[in-house]
Amino acid sequence: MSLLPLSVLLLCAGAAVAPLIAPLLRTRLPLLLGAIPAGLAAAFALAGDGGWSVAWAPSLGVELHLRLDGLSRLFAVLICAIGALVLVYSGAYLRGRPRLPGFCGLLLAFLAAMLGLVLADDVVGLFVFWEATSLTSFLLIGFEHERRAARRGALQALVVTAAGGLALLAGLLLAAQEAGTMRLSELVAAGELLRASPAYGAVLGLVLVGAFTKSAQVPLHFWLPNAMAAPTPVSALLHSSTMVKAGVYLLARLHPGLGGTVPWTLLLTAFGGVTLVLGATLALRERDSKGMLACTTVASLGLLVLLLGVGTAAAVKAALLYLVAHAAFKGSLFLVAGGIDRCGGGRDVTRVAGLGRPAPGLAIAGGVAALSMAGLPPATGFLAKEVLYEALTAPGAATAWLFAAVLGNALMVAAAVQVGVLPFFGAPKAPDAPRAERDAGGAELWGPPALLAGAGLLAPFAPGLLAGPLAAAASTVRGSATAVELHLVPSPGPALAASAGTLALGVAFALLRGRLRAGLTQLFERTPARRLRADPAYDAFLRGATELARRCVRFVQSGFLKRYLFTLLLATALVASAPLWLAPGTGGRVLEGLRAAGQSGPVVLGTAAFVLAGALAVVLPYRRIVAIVAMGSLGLGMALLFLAFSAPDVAFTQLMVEILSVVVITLVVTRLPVRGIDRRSAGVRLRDGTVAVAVGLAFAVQLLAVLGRPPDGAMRRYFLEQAPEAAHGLNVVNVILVDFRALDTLGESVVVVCAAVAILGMLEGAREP
Amino acid sequence: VLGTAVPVLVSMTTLFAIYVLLRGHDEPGGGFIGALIGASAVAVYTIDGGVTEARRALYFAPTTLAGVGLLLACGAGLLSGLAGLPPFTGLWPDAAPAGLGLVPSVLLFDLGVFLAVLGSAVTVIFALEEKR
Repeated sequence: MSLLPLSVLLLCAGAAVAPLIAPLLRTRLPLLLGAIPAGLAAAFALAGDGGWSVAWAPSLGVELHLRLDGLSRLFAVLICAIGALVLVYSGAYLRGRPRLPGFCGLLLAFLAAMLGLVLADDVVGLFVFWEATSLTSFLLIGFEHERRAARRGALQALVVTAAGGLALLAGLLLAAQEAGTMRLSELVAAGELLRASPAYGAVLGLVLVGAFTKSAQVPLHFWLPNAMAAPTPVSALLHSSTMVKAGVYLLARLHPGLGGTVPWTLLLTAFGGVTLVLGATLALRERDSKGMLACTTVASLGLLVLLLGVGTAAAVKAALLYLVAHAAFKGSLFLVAGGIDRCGGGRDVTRVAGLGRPAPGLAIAGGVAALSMAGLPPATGFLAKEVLYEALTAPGAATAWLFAAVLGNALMVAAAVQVGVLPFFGAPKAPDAPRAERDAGGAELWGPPALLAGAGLLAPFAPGLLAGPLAAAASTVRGSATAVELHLVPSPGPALAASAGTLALGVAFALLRGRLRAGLTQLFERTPARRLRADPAYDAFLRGATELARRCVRFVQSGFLKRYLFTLLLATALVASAPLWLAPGTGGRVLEGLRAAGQSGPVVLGTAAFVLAGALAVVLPYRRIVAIVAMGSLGLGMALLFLAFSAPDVAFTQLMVEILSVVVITLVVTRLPVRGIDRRSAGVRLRDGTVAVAVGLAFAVQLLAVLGRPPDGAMRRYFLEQAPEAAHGLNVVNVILVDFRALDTLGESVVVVCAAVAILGMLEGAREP
Repeated sequence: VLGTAVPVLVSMTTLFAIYVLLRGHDEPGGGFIGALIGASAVAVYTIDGGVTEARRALYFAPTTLAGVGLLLACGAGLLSGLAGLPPFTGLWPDAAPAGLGLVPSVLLFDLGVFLAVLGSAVTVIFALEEKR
């Protein structure tokens, strides 16, 4: 089997067995499980382009296609490598927690979903994996479900990203319909057609909603900071380096198909730019280290979207380089923040200090990662920033983009200093946690962040290692061959000037951090700007939706049996027969049907009279038991009619149903008072009778119209020929039930069982006093 | 009169129900109708001997029967997936991959329908009878 399905299956299998093998391995479990993604990362790095597919539901035209190309490989390696490091780290971070095995399993399940997402080459597959990442993210954010904040954050993330996923599905299906293919690669290749089609606006809008929710673009960014209620390894893996990049991945993937138009550039640069500046600004307001990192992640995602919106070769290169650099430094900084928390430093960046001596490993990791985040040489972040400014200072680029990038990056410099550097300097303050809970952490706690940060430092010294994969990915995104060269020594020019300006501004922000925080807090909490906050808007939306649902239920489910019956009967009779009334020639066919019915033999006519008499007896005001018997005889007459038309199966079934209904109805009715008194007033009786007669007439006319049209016979011939041949049966009716239309029969059986369970529940419930 | 006739009646009806279930493929009959006959047998037994007695005679809880029936029907439908065919393709002993076609899959499916309908009907009958 090819590597592609095998990798996803392997991760799923790991997730499934993690809790089972946990008792055998104890503390070695995360290390061992981490070997799976680590091995996969190496395998993906070495694997060549390829594809794999399997028919999923061939009769619906749904197939599962996976493919590996430049872009997929870049993401797959990132996902697996960071996943492995985070798994190892989780072992130390959650040491001694009873639910650690389940946590590891969930992480692996997430990795499987994420890997499937970047490998999928088919609209349905992409959507399924997309929603799978939303679901696993929900479970991981809510992992510490005893805490209210964790539950709220998890639900919020799920509501926002799942809603976005639905929009994405609609957009992709619309695009698939326009292009006439479900394959993503063919969809993208049909870009000319898509961009020219009248549905382009709708496709673009829906796809962007999906991508923006997942990648936390303003105004849908609010779920990401709230998702910080997750354990820190989750934040490092899902909410900085991988899952939130899914939206960026989608935009990059669809760029050759949908990109390059004016709306694409305008929307992406506008949303991306605003997100960049707002996210970075919000970050400096935070005191919580994880909250601060989350806000800078929002900003970085904005920067990526902005660059993809620009869409030139240089911008795409910058986006991919920055994406790799960001995954390394942000993942690493999250792990460092978690490590500081574990070491007793807490998460308040204004309080934690002096941890350089007790935790040197964390200090080195934090420092190197902060270097990359601030964009200083020789880190990858520096290279990324140079390419980025080159793209934004090129002719044709708007000045506003450059300003947004400089401002956002400068703000992020200040954040990097506060999270990655300052905690390790100065005099140690009294720790937040008591000594017993503190844990300087073994190599498992500082090793993974140091490795991640170190990888970001390595890239510039071995440029070939990064340039090759980046060129392959950039070619996929651009849709044409694109070369990538990385220069460690920058050439003087406007890009270098912008970089220097960013650094100067960033240092100034870092020095003024106290005043900035106070000022921003004032701005966002005391002035009218607070009305614009997205979180309360989300709460209001949720309340509104709940209230609407409650009102709908109260309206639809009134609790009166009679009202339900009226609705059902009238709807069936009137709506179902409406097309018939409107169709031409109905009157003639009804007459024809009446004549055909009149020509039937004496047996049929006699039985029909018997049935009619039974029906009359049911409605006459005798005792209940009479009505039941009359109903039974009515059914019996129907069975006779079926028999007369040589349908023994139907007659037989009708007979049995009648017998059982009489038994059941008797059981019900005998519980009621023996002499039922009809308390309905004359007016109500008239209304009920009118409805009954109207419904009966509607059905009679419908049946007559059907009778009046000569039967086609094609179906009958088909079944009579196919039944013995394809299904080895002579009883055509039953063969249809169990073979040709078996799915329908299964559905009906489910309905029967559901009804029985509902009746049981109703009767059991009524037994309670 | 009922007391004397019940044992004969019930055993005959039950036998007949199974017979109808099995012959359904070539002649009038099948899982649904067989289940209705079976349910009427149980109903007669219940009216004569009471619910507790009928529950004991049935041995399995009726809801269990219904659930197992549904699972069986689903499983029979998905069985063809193992042979690489679309769901609900009938498998027959003479024309199926080794091991899969020992019992015709449509018979399994019909048996599932039989159990589901029988279980549901008996559930309702028992619940109603117990309420009296």
